[in-house]
Amino acid sequence: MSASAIATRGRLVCVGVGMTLGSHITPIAQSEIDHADVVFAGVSDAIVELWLREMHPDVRSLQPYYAAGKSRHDTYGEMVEAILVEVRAGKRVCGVFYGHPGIFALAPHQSIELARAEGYEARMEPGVSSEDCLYADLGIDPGTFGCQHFEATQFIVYKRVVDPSAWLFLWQVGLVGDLTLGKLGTGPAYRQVLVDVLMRHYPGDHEVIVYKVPTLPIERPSIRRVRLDQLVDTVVSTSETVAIPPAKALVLDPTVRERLDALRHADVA
Amino acid sequence: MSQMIEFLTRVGADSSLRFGSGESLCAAMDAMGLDGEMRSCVSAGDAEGVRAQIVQQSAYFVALMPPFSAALMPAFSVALMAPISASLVAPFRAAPSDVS
Ligand SMILES: C[S@@+](CC[C@H](N)C(=O)[O-])C[C@H]1O[C@@H](n2cnc3c(N)ncnc32)[C@H](O)[C@@H]1O
Repeated sequence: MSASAIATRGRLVCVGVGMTLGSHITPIAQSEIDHADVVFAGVSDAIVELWLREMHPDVRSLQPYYAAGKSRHDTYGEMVEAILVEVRAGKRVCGVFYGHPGIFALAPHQSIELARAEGYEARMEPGVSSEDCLYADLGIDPGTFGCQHFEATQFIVYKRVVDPSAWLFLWQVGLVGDLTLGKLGTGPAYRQVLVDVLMRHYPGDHEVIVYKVPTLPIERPSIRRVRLDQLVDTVVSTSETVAIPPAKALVLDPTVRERLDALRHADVA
Repeated sequence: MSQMIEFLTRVGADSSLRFGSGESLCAAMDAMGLDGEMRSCVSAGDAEGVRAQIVQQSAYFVALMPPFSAALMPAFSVALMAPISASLVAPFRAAPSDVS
């Protein structure tokens, strides 16, 4: 391949700008934005998008691909295609997503996979996700009891193995139960289904936390603590994550314990 | 407007502005000549108020992931769950035809 052909070869990097404007952007994400020919913006706040527009002259919002009543499967497919069109045109493309671009986010993973399959250089740079902020603001260490993360609708439509001795984090609760993927949010009747599923594992008076990290730096985190059975009547926005603390103590496995004791006594390295 | 974005960027990156007593935030707003409703919103931590003054469309879509593969849509049925659960390792990869 000639030098000029290499120079015009498209490439893709998906970066995260974190959750809070100005606080979380990493130097490498900033550098990718600065050096891109085209920037696609999949962010959660119109002001964050304006902030990106201050950084780069060609920022293309991914918001127009969404619409009420339109399946998000179509939306995500169109996002991937829009990104790939520019990569194929030989551009240096930066996909900018809020939070971490690879956490509960389809289009960044899929566009990177597709770009690579078509022979283009493509990679992802991590960002500060809502999960990271949640650990900081709620004072949770995921290692203390372990944790499970599920997309809320996936959690209820599939039979999952829930461990009530670990933390449970549910994402996209604001859309829980929407099988059309076209709703802007779901209400109490849908949350009732979620609560019914959760009450197979947790008592109704178990405290759950509805959490939101600010996207603008003038706000404080929103932390609402409600009983599980009150979650039905608690409006949960699409920008909130639900954290469910462990309800049961960790239970030792005596068989494993005996095996480990035997190894210890035998002084096995 | 771009002055306001610059201001928010500074607040986001400076702990004394973001988490300080409020005096340094007031001083920064003075220096920028920020007054009126915008100043009240910033002082009150009213992000919706700030948004209302800067952007037209304040509600943004945030969902970035479907809960299950496109193969289940539009009709969700138990019969379709077996092939989907078999692909749990890479559950949300659309077939090439899904990405038109
Ligand atoms: C499609 S996922 C995208 C997550 C994003 N990539 C990240 O790194 O946080 C959307 C879900 O992330 C969580 N989320 C998004 N914004 C949030 C916020 N400001 N505070 C708390 N959770 C948030 C919610 O569970 C929301 O339904």
